[in-house]
Amino acid sequence: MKKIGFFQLNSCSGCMFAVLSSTIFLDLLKSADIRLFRLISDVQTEDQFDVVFIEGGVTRNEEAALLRRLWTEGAKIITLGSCAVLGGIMSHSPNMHIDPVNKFVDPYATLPGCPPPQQLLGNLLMSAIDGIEFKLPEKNVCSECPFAQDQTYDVEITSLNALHPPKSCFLSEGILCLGPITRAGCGARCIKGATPCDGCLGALDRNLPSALANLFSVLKVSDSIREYAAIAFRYQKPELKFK
Amino acid sequence: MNVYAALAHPLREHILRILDAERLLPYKDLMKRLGLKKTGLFNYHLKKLEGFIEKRNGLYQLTAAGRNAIRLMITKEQLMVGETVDFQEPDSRGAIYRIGVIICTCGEELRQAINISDLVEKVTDLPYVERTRVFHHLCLLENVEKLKHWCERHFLNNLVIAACSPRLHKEMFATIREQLDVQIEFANIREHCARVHRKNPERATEKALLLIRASAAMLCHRIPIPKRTLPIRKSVAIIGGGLAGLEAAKVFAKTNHSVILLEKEPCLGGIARRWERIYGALDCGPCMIAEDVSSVILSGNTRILTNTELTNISGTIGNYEITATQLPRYVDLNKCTMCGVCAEICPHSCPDEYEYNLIQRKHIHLPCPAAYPNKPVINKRDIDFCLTCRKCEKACPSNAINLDQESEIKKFSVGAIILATGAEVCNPRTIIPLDSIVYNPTKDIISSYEFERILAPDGPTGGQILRQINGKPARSIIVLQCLNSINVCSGYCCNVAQKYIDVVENIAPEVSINILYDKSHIPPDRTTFIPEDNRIHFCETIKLIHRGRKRIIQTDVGSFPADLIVLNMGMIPGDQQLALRTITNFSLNSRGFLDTRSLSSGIWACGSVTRPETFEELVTESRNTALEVLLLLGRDSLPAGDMPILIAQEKCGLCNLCVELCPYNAISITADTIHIDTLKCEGCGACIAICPTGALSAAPIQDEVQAAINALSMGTTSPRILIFCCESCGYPAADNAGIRRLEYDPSAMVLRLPCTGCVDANFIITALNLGFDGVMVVGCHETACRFLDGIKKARIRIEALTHFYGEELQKRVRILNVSAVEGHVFATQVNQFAAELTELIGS
Repeated sequence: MKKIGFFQLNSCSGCMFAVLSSTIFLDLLKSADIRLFRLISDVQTEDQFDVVFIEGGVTRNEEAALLRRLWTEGAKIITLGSCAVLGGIMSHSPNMHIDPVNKFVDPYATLPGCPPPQQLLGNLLMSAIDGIEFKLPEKNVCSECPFAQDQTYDVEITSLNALHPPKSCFLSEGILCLGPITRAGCGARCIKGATPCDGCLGALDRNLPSALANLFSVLKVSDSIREYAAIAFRYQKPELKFK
Repeated sequence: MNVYAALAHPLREHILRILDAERLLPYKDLMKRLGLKKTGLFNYHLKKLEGFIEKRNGLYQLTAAGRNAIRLMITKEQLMVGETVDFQEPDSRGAIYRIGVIICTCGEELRQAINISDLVEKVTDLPYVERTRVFHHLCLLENVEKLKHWCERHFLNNLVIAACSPRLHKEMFATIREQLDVQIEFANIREHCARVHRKNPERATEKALLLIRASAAMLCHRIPIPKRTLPIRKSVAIIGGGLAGLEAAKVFAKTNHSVILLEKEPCLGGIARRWERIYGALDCGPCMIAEDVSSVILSGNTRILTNTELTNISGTIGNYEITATQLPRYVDLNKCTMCGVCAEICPHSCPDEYEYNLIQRKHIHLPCPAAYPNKPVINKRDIDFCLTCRKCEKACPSNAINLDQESEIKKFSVGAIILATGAEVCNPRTIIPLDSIVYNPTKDIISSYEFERILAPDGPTGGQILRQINGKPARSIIVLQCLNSINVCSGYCCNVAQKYIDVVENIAPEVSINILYDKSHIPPDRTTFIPEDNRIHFCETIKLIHRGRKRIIQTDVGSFPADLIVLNMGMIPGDQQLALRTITNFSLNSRGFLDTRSLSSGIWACGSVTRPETFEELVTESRNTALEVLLLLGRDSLPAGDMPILIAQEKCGLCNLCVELCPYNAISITADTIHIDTLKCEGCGACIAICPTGALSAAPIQDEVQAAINALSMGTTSPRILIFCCESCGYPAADNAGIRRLEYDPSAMVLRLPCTGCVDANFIITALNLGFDGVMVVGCHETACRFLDGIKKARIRIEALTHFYGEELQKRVRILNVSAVEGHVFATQVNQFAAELTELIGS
């Protein structure tokens, strides 16, 4: 039986609830030895893990030290959710500095998402038990979006929020949707729920601000949206080192 | 395959190490390196290493297991000395790079600024660089043979040419590329290094090394693209059997290429067939059509299909597959003897659309007088009635009529397609009415097309100009101009009006004809020439008044009797263009007609489908088009583009961003697969920068550029500046600075890209993160971008990044517009930027 731990750093517990609501979780209880899961159990064993799931980003030295210790002890580190993988919504805070987990240790597998999509989460949990390699999809959200068919991008983008469910692609309706640059895997769940994609699974190949800057060179974006920097850093604030 | 047994002997370990270092070695060299004299012992050890090494093309190399064995040995050593183990993955593609570096000293000129011997020493230490060679004048053609020999002897599969600008001796480098089967990358150490940093030899040498290192790094990420050719079918399809289609077919009639001519109507000829005279030609319409048709038929290589409509086009240039639907004619063309019994016996009549409903015709009828094919036809619209009647079927003496005929779907494979579908007649009911003059044929207010038929000798009036009200000859004709429903010049009504003057003068000199222009209706974009003529009048006001039985048009320049009022209509693209656009993609020009430049390669268009034309224009265009097609068909195969873009279909998310971005409309998505028209693609690479999933990739972009940025960032001087230059303006401008020997800061590194449109925002962020103090994007002037709007895309991306990262980034990233000769602008701007950055770092 694999020894599994669920660690929460600086986070909202959303990803842990996603794990709990996963249909695979019951199988996991049977087939693995869950040694640490503070959200549901008081039993606390902080060592000897085969696989650890990390939720949330790193702010303090103790947390970084914990990660390093787990890693050197030989645990496979799996990062769960946008905070652990990319830095998450807290990257915005002017008062604290948050880092993604991969700055300190090399994760065995990563799954972004806010919260991670159920389908991929199931695969990830299974891979933790069976050791099958977990792969993130390499396509973008458009590949799963029901409205992405022969979309045109010549409408000026003036809005960030949809007031009604889309009839066609959000971008064709003048609403900024980050679907084209965001990693697939969620099944376009937000778009189906009348909300444009905001890129919680992160961009493919590059960081989100660069991908967004590229996207802006195709779309006609109104000045007010172009100047609104927070869109680019919603889940990720990549450092830009100036010497 | 026991790895421990294989590594048990130190000699075998040695073999693996040598192969790891050298990658490829022939038998003899390997034996020499081991210091062995006897082949027997050597063979024994080679046999023991089976599975770890392999022999391919006479060269020994490591297998995947062999590489793992090497890793095992290295790890063991590291562990023994107490190091932490750092695993390095082998190249994912398993490719082997043996890079040769050629340094050309340009007749010792470069030695003044660069320490060549020092450079050679350092270059040889670079990863994957196997051999280095110095030439004095690489540009001599005899060196190609030497290079070839050199590459073959040392098994070099990649070449870095460190010499003058790659733009200078293009032909020479093209020959090298062609003759040597190697990948080549250039390092411009003359214009970009030696000539502009003469005052600082030390830093110039360092820069030269960095440039070579970057080129070598780029080669290590290059995916070789196989050379492809497209075979070409020696046949052509002409869509539309009007004047334009027939003119084109006439050209092919003189060649051996087979032609398929599709015509939607039951007979050839199109609109021009109905005209008494064609403007610009002395001949009458039907005679000219008859002449063209006979020469096309006589050639014997043309297959004519009437009543046939194009429904689909698939494939690419040289290999098009077209699908057409042949509507039933209900008459067997071979059996029919043209006896005319069927038309006599037919009990039902309806308005004749060929004569613009001026007269009636039978359901089974000849499509027009002297038609080709000159056999009766039943319109598919009327067949419901005919199926209840069937009198003609029974009466036909040769049993040629079959009312149960079905539509047929036909498929053809052709090499090229000519669209000559023509235009449509503008509906006179949609025009802007002048005063109370509304189209009404029964009141003798007719359109120009009806007037054409009235003038035609084979028309309903036999060429006499008769009034519709009473059937008496008309004594006065008024032609009203500029009536197109859209406020653009049709470009052809003026010519038609002049034709009417000529024709009426000839056939009925007693009839007065006046051409009236309403000044307020004349479109601003009129291009046709209106001659001085006392029958052509420009009026402020046009009014229709009745004086007793007489009808008079009253204007500010006089009153004109108006027995017959002709509304001169333009031509419109019509519904058939819409239908055509669903079959093949093209854009429209300012007048709403097909824009020939936007057609896929291998598809041409001529005739009125592109714009309303005079006879001369049409014939010239049709013939030119046919000759262009002949140029294509004269070749056996085509090379598939210069810089083909690789597509990873499994990664494509079908987001359509590249389709939208491509300035040449070369990318299309059909049936969930992305397709690039390699002949339309100009290779700007903008689509690769935009592709969010990395489904598109090409030779000099993404991984290669990242590797080059990484290599260039290893400089030690400051401020470090990375300059992205476009191939058409930025790079030549940098060259120009070199030619003029304008000194600039040696810490500025130039990286060549096809276009600034492929400057991914990520490149800028990567460069800044790798320690560059500033990034400069140098491209064409915004109005003169070689790839239409590449520099604009780069500017938008940089602006977006500035908004995201704020002022700090703005100070670090600069965009510069230059033309190819503005070397001085380049040099001064780089110096200025370097000075600003120095100040910024200092503070």
